[in-house]
Amino acid sequence: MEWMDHARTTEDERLERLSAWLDGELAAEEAATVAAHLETCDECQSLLAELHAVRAVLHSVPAPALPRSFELPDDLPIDMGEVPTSDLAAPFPFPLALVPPLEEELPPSAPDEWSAVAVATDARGMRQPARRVPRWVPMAQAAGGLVALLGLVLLLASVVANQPGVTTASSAANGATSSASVRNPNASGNQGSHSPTLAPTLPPSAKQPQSQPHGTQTYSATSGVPVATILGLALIALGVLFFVVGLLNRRRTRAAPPTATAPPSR
Amino acid sequence: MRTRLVRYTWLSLSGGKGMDQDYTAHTHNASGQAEPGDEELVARSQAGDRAAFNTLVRRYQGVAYALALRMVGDREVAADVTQEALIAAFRAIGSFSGGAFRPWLLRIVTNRCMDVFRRRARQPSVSLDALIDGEDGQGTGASPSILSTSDDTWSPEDAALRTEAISAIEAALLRLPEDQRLAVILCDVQGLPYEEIARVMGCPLGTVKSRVARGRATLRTFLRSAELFTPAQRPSTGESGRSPGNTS
Repeated sequence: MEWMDHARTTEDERLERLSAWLDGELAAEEAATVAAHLETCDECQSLLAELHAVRAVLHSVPAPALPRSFELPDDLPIDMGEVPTSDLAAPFPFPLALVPPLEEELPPSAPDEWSAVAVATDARGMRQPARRVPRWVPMAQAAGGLVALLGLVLLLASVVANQPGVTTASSAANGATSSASVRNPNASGNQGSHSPTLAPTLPPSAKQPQSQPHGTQTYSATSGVPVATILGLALIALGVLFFVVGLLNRRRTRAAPPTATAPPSR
Repeated sequence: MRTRLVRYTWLSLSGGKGMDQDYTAHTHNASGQAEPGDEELVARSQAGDRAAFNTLVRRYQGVAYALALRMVGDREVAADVTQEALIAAFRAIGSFSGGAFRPWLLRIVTNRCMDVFRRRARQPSVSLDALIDGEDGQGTGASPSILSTSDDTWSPEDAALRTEAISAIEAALLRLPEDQRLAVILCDVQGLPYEEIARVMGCPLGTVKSRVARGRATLRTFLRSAELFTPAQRPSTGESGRSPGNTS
């Protein structure tokens, strides 16, 4: 095993293993590897001796005398209802790097056993509450995407409808626009009809689109730019707008600055 | 110089913290009366029994104060931190979901210490050196009167050496980054196992391992420059057990 191989491990890794071995906190196999390695390696033996000496020195420090009793006096009013979550949050959840990583790279810590709230921290270990993406954002994005898609369909249909063999295309366009109208009652260029449709006629109301002068999907070979094309483009633009707004709200929430400063860790 | 170092090694062996008693089960207090275990006391505290909580305070205030003192380096501040933490613990006892009481309490103490550090960072008028030296150069807790183990057979010279050594250790601890300081205090001064330290810190076991190791390595540099120890003796290769004075 390469756990203590000087060629394959850094001094920090070996230091960590020796330190954990000294505390009896290594798994049996790893501990045996360390013990075997120590029999032949002078460098690690002296490193271990130093760790052992530091530990011994610290063990020798006596417990300080209590200045007074810290028992709670009976007359001290204590509000039992309040739970200060900042007292229960993990003080040092992450290893603190020398160079603080970008905030977007830090994962929020999982809720640990005492603080029910999952907290994110910045690079110095300061806690931030986990920020949730507001609910409307994913819905707006989904709606936006759908609208854009329908706009695309409408656009394509209107382009195709310019070709000969128009009837099928126009009824297909009608079908598309009437379903779009269910979702987007406001985006209408419609003038005359009662129903909130983009293209005027619903299939049951019979008349062919070409024959209706207004409130209909008017196009002619001579006009060049069918209304449906414009509407299709408008829908696409609207859908993309919704999507981008949602996206911006996601990014902004995550990149909110920390609420407090902390002493830099050395 | 060598003599002094060897002497210190001897001194270090004769001091030391006492074994931590296991309070989880039914136990007896100093005057021999039977007392309930931690779990029952917590349950009673959750029901509002302040006297039961005060029994818990009596059990754990020493550990709490010692941690606060080694973290912040000032006796008055440490006393305030300890008191506030114990009050906060009583308020929050309703949300204690089981397990050992000690790491739960020590986490609250640690968070209060972090508040102190943040306050200090905003008002850097108190220099760290002043904290380490103390108002009268006595250090944070190294005056002979507070030594909990007094040995009448020591000569004044030995006692003075010991005092000097202790304040150097405390000063060295205060120079560590906070996360390493906490890890080393909990592991080497208090004797907590890694798993309990992980619960206090709220971090994975691997991070505890790394912080303890780095803290010790940094301390070794400080202590060596203070000429406080000599790694003359090698531990036997069979040693893998923990030192006395740890886990419950």
